[in-house]
Amino acid sequence: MTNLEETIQKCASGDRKAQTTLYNHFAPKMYGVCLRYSKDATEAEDNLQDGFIRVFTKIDQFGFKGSFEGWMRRIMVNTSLEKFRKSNHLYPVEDMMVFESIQYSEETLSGISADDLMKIIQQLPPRYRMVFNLYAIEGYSHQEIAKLMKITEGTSKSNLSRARVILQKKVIDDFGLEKNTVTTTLC
Amino acid sequence: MLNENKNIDQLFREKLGDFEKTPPMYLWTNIQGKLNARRYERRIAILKTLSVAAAIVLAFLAGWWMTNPTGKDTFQQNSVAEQRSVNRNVTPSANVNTATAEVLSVTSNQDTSGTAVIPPKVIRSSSTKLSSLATFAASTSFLNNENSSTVQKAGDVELFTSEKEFMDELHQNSKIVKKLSDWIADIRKDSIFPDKTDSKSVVIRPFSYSASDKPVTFAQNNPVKNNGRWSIKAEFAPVFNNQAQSNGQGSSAMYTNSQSYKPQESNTENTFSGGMIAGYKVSKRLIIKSGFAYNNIRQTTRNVDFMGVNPLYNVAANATLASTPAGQVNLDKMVNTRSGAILNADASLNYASKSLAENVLKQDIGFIEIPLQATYKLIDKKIAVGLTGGISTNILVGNKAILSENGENISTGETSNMRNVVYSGSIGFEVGYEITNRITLTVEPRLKHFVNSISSSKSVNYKPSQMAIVTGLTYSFN
Repeated sequence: MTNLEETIQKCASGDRKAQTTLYNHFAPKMYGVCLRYSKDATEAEDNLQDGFIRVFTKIDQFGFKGSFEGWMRRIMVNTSLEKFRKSNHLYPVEDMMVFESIQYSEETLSGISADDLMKIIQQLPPRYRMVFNLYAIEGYSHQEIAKLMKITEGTSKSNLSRARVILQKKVIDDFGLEKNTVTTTLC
Repeated sequence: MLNENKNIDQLFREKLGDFEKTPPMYLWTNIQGKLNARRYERRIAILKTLSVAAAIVLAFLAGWWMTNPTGKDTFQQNSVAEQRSVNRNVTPSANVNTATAEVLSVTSNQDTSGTAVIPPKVIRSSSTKLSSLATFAASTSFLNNENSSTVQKAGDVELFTSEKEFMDELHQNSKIVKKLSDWIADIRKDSIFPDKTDSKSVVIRPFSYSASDKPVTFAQNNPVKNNGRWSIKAEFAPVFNNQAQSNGQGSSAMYTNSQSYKPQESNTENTFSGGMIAGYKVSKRLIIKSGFAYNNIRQTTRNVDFMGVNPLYNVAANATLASTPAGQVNLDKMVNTRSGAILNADASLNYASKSLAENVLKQDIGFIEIPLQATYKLIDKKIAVGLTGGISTNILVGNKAILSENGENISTGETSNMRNVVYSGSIGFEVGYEITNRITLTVEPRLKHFVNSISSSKSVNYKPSQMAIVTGLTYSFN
């Protein structure tokens, strides 16, 4: 894609060719985002489809103030969160738990593929998956997550903590990693 | 090497933060399809708004045109002038005509256009004089006879007879003729000046006397009937649908082996319709009407049978088909069907199956209806009663289907093989209450039946019947 700004403007005026170009350029990255928030590929495809429709219908509202990719990514995340909210998954867990933070060496990490980790993250219960993604990968604060998901900060922290425990256990079980260093933190 | 170690957050962030994967090809096709559908829906919405706006503008323009005094006057003048010229040709030998010709010759000398005997401006600018002429003429004894009073009731053509007789009498009285000629000459002189006096035409006033010597007020209080013929009506109605159930393409034979599953149930929902109708009064009791209205049919189907299911995988084929009485619905996403829920194959070896979840399929089929109706008034008083019957052309403007599972919309699509144009017949019993001279409130229970099936598919026979309670507000241009 030679000129992103021009393509965006053409998309805003309904130019189908520009829409195809934009889709081809961003779809793989956005599919990656959707996959992280979904339980499987089918759900991710649904979210990607709805997200892109939203992108194209709202593209005229993009003010060229920040990164377009960031704007798109937020739309994909919001679409996934809305879908999650609609399905109304309830995990009323508020308790805090002690999480053992394990550090992994570069050497051991190189043996784990992204696809493997994706499978692990998709197996998380939906609310844990959402919170973990938002906090650990997107970089949102617990306060922001609480607002986005309409939960309390305490719930957000608790969900993150539980997500970490599950993920860590999975990584150790699946890849047989040994603890290098153990630090105990309270989330 | 502690600083090279990563915790679980970092592990996932680094590996998945910029994870990319090419999505399946069909996804873009789906997105394009949805974008096209949205564009189509937006166009339809714009079209609906425009039609309503156009109808309002049309109603306003029609009202302005009908109630505009200048327009009315011109109409009256032309009608009188034409009738005069016709009469001149029809009865050339009568004595009466000699008198008419004599009077007309005074004006035609000044106006060579022939039929327009008295130019409109002349009449308007000189209305005061004509009124005085009328008063003068009315005061003469020969106009107070029985003949002229009966003539006045009978309308424009008869009025001319009155004029004929008027001229006949005038002919016998040369003094009056001379005076009249002078007046007409004066009128002509005045006509070069702009209109400063009463803008209302009085062209027929000299000929429309009543026996009670009130020529001027008569003409003002009794407008020409033709102007009261048009009316415009805004109508709104709750519509109750009643569709005689016909089996969809999933035949009942499928249930022979599937007693444990709930059979598919379909029912039509109640909707609303609204529109603008123009009416033209052909005679005192008969009104012909036409216009447009928006009307839709909504059908809800529960425990949907999904067609075209692959029995090996329990997954409906790429474009999922659901079978409903209004026809097959093409949905844009696959639906996971219940393992072992494959129903018997129908004659064409289509397999049907049930979904994993409780589901509801809603179909919304919208039409723009263009009716042609006739209303016959049985009682034409302050409270009027009439019978209305008509036929309508229904143009398909919307076709949407939404499948939801456990209250969540999971797939959209449309009912296949919908006809673009279907015809319907309607009959109604209208009760109207005249709020003012111009505004009438009507309530009309109306029955409507589709003459042909809304689906072009041979296996679907869907002719819904509708019962509407139409509330209307009619504005008459009288």
